[in-house]
Amino acid sequence: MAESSRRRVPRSVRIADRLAGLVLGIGGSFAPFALAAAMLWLFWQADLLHPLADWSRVGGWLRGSVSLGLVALAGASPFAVTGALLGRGSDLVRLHLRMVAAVPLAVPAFLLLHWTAPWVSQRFGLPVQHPGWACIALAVGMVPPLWLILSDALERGGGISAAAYALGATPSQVMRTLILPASAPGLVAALLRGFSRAMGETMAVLLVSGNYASAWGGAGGAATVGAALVLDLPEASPGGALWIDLMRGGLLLTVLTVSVYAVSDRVERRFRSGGQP
Amino acid sequence: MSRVGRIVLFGLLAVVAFPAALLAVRTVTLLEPRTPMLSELPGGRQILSYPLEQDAWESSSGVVRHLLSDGTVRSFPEGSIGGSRPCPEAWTARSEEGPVRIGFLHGVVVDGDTLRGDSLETRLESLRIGLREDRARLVDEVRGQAGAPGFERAMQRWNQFRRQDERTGLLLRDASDSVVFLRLSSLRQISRAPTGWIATAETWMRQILTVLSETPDSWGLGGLRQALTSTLALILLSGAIGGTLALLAALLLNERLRPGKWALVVRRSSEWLAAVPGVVWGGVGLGLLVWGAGAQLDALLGNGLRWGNGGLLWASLTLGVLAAPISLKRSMEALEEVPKQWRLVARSCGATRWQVLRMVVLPSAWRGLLGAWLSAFARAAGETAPLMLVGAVHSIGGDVLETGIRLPSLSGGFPHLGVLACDPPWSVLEAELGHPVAYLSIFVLTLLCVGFELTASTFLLENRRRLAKDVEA
Amino acid sequence: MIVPAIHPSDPGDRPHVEFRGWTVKLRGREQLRWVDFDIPKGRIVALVGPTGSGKSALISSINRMLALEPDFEHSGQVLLAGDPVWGREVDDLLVRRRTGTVFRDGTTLPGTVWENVAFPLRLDGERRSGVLDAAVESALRSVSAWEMLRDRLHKSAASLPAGPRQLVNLARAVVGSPEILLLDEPCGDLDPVSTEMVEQALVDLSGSRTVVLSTHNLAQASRLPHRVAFFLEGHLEEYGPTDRMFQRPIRRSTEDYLSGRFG
Repeated sequence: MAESSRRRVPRSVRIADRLAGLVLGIGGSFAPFALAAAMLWLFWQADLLHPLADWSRVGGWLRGSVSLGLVALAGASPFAVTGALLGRGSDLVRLHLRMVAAVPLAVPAFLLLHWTAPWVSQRFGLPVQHPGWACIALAVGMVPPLWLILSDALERGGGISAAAYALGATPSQVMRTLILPASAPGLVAALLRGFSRAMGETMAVLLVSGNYASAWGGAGGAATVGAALVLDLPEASPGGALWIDLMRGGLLLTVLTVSVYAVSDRVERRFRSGGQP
Repeated sequence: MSRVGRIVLFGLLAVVAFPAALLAVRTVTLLEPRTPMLSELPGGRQILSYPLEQDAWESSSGVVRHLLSDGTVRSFPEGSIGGSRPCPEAWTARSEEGPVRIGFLHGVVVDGDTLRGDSLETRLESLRIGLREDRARLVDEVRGQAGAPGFERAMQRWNQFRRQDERTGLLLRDASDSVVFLRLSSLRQISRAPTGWIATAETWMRQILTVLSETPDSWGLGGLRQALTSTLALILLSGAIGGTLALLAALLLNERLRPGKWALVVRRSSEWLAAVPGVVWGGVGLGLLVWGAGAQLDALLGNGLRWGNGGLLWASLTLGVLAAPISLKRSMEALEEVPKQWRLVARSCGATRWQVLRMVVLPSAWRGLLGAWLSAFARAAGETAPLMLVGAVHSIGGDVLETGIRLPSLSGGFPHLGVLACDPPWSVLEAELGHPVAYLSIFVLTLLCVGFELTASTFLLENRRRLAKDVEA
Repeated sequence: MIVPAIHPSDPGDRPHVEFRGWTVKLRGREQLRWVDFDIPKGRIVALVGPTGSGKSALISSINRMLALEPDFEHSGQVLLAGDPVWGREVDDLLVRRRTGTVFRDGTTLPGTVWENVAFPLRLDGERRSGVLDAAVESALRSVSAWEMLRDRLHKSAASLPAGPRQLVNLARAVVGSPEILLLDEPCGDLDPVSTEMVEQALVDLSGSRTVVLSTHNLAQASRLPHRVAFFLEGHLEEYGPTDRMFQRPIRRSTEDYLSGRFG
């Protein structure tokens, strides 16, 4: 039955929708597809069953990356946690942090290399290319991003603390009895995320420990997976033993960082959904 | 917050900003205009020189180093130089062809005639600039006419210029009265130490701008122009690639696909891939793009090795993929800030998904999407390690003749500010001067990163603020 | 047409919306179970029942908004003026243009009052400002909001108080002259004064238009509609003329609910 008031849908409206769907369907699946293809390629190149494996070499690089990440995290987290707990909820602090966190991690390393390390080495005899410098550079560099992640994690919970203040609690009481316990999972998630990032950092290590961080990785080997990739990959022939080892290092590092990130993501999600009073 | 807490917080904020602040201060002080010194050596001989920074390596062994008037660096035992006085009347000349020279202006030779007198100094700069412009123009003409009928004429003009150019220059006299002739057109800079703080500040500023805008000279000084243009080109290309792909993916996942299991899987895993270290992407880019796609392309085209080497295109694709996850995450967050109810209301009026996007979502969330798009640029600017694998070259390279800004080619290697700062090809002199160019290069890169990130997060915050206001009202 | 005794309909009414064994499952939970009744043309029908009884699902079945839900199954059929609403070949866009919908929470689209009211027409590519201005004015007049809003046409709609905001939504729903109005608890979040405002507008504009109105407000349900349908746990318990439903309900549950004993 035909209604006189019934409107028609213009053809152009349908065509535009189809067209947009086509463009978004193709363009939008490109990025996930490219990411997945790159990861698959890496997995395939790493050829985990190949007999030419020098697992000890790969293990050395991985150990370097993990220990560097841990040391950097240990160095950075006291400052970052204190700062995040003290500077909660301030937009100015957040803006400041966003700016500082955008500074490349290579900057502290660069300054250490050109400014602090020569001076210290002259005074106290510590070699300029000591691996400790890489730890310090990374720890210094990790403070702002870690702080930023932490303060994102601590963003919630304003309501309870306001209520607690209204009941006459002191700031330290609020901190001890409310904020810390309530945000502990968020803190853990943020620290894990920082660890994931520190493990993969390359330039700082490369800069400070020089082009051969032999002090760490043993005879002529680079210290971390990142350094090994940058230094050795251009010389490795595809499919050769070194190539396979490097790809394995890259793959394992990726698996490590991504799974740590994924765990932190889960913890945070749970914290977000369940942490709300 | 308690007083102690406040003090600790401010302290921490200052501490985290310290590296960036230090970088800025060091960069600026290293590029400070210096005044040459006229000093006595033990034998009664005089030298005109710049005393160099006391590097920790040397100062422990009791030597001081000076950059001498002929451009060499010499170490002297500490205390052996006496009677030093600043010598603001001495000139410093930076030439394309030789070392830095310091000396007193002895005369100016124009087409073979030696001129002397008071007005020399004012004429000097205009003469030099005119000559260099002439030269650049003629070089362009010769290059442009190559193989064309006008080539002979252009070459004639060029040769005529060369003859005149050979006989036009500057006579610099050093402290021991030996005079050196410097071709005027080869001089990049001829200056005296500024007097008065306004002139000093001006010279200082000009010095920084000069280093940024110049191509490098044969002496390995100055010249970040190539690195700056190619870094900018790289950031813009890869940010545009990564940001756009991420934006499309976010729109597809959030606005187009029905929220289901698959969308969630794609979304989560894309977010998690933000955690993949940059250098791993570099390795994948090298293997998959440079040695894979590039080599295939070369075999197909048969023009020798062109795409099978690291280059700007492969580097931008690598950085683009690397930057996509963070941009995707932020785009999704920006889209989720748009209330679902708006979409429902629009759909209930009979809007298609595209109309909802065009008429409701984009007008209200464009700031957030722009911010997310710009985040890709910030991420691409901040990543250096993968570039060392996919095409950044370890030299400043460059067009010494300064004829126009040349954009780097898509297939060629390119200098990058971050790589240059971290693995510098700079000359000994650069190191002697305390790495001013390396400092400037990483400082500019930092400014780019902070600038992009600040713009991006300003848009994101503004988006959140406005949408929150709209929903609340 | 077989009409069970507990949902009688006047033999003179032409049906506008017909539900035929309509069953809806959403995220595995049954929202509507074998709903089978007619909504007569040109009448106001109120859907009442406790929260979760399926009123919203019923409204979303008429304008096909249920199709946007991710995990959704259905069986049976809904006919709008004889045309099937559900099925492969049905055009969502057309169905939604034939219906005008107002939601409970009073959310307006982003933008000004004018943009809100003109939105459905602009979807069809109407750009002539003269046509749009006239349509906006007549839509606002038909909900008796023109005098109130004429000076605020180009102010943000979200900044209006709740009552006028819902009037804007109502105007947006009627601007495309839909044959049926679907109002999902339009006064759910409103204070009594604003409710009065919206009700007045409804009475003014309904005229010969079919209106389906879901409500929690029993006073409203007794005032406005010609018919009342009582839903309980996804099932149509009883359906009939308003007076009879309130004065002589057949089922016990209907009586309990409508007299305010539960719900």
